[in-house]
Amino acid sequence: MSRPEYTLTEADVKEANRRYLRVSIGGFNYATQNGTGVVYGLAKALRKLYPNDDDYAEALLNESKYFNSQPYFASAIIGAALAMEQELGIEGKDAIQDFKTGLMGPTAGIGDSIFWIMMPAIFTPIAAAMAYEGSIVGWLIECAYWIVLAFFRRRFFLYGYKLGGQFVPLIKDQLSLVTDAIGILGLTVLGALIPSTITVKTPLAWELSTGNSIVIQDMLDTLLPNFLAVVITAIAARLLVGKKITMVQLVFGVLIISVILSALGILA
Amino acid sequence: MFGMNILQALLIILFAGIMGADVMGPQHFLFWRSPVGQCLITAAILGNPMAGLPVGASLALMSLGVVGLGGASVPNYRITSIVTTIVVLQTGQPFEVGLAIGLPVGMMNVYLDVMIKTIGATLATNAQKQIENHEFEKGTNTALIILAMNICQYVLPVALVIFAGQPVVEALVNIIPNWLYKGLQVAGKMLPVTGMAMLLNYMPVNKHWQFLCLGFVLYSYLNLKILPIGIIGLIIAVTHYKRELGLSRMTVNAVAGGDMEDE
Repeated sequence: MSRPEYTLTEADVKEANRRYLRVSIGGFNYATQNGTGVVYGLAKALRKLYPNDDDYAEALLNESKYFNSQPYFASAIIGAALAMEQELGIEGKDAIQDFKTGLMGPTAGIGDSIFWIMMPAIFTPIAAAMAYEGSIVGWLIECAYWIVLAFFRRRFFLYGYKLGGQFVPLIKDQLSLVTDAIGILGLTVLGALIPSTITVKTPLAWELSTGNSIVIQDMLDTLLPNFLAVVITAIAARLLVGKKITMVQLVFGVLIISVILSALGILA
Repeated sequence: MFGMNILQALLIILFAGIMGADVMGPQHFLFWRSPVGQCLITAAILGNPMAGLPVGASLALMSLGVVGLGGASVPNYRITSIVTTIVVLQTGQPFEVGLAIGLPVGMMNVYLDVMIKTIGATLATNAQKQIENHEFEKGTNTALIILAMNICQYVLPVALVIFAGQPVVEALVNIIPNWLYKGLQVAGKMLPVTGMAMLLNYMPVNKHWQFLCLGFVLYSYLNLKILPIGIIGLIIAVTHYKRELGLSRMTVNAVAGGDMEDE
């Protein structure tokens, strides 16, 4: 392997970070997903490493291939990829490609569930509950969390560059434990969230000949409080398993079914 | 223009644009991800920040878990937030009517999103050809073109609603029959289910289902609020983490010890 003659300075790496942050997932497309963003981010740094046009084109084409992960981890992976370009040069292009494709799947799974699913599921309901009471404190707590995250967000690329290939074992050991713990916290909150946010009731009642009536909602409440919320969520979750229906179809479906059931007097 | 002055209109459009540029790029101002923040800021531009809070709270719960993972297109609740806030604050209609306008606009965005990603695919393939032909400037800047389209995805619908939406809204408000209005109220209570379903699919339910039950019991039977339930969850999570960490270290030690004996 031939190491490129030019050694990237700290300023070069920081510039690559800034460029990559500017686009991140903004260049998403169905052909190469975020490959366009990687090319834009690394273009200037790679030009310095590969003064020869043919090498430069080859490196760019290699980096332009299919790439997608959770943005924070994506930054770290691309930072590490740049470190590999520096160390291995153009002959390392297959190793770089393998490194990127090997890591993007697992990190996307972990990153998406921590940063886009669980943490919002913990902060958003608190912000919403306080907002209903006319207070912005909950929202400010959420903001504080995001600001801390943004601070790290600016540095993931640089961490990745420093770590280079050592990046992999580090992620494996620590993150699975952290994800598991956050999963427990997220599930506890979600257990409370389902009954507290889905508040439909049924106005159905049986008129008995004696003049009394059996109110269905009361029956359900004795059976299990917030019974309807549990049933509806279970059905919706089942439908999403294995992408039987998409999110868009689910939102449309809920909208239409709500209006129909309301018109029939089954839900209120 | 919903009784806004031109400055307010432009500020809201600018807000939508900055939000688009940030969400698709640096993601530094992620608090704009929360509908509470989006509605608060839109309402502040309209001169009554606090009026945006209940709108934002309802939308936050509806959109929770609605995230476009792996490049999936989902209804754009950020645009729904802006549009719903405008309708509620400027026409004095209840939240349900605002939602009846805001939600379809957010859903229409899915088609815009799919269109951009499809055009983007052609551009990306084209960019690879340009790089092959050593047209480096063009080939490496393609991401910026797609980013610009994504910003338009935020700016255009909001601008369209602000400048051309009022007659549509007024017409709709007049023809919405009572049963549909009631149906929308039910839909408002039902829609959070979409996010909950998504969350369930991404959380380790099979492994840790008992904590889902715990949260449910704490809320439904003991009537605790979300914040204390979150704190209880945090305590359990930290305890679990420490225990697992201890166990994994013990296994590492045991394995290391075993190896030495073998030698």
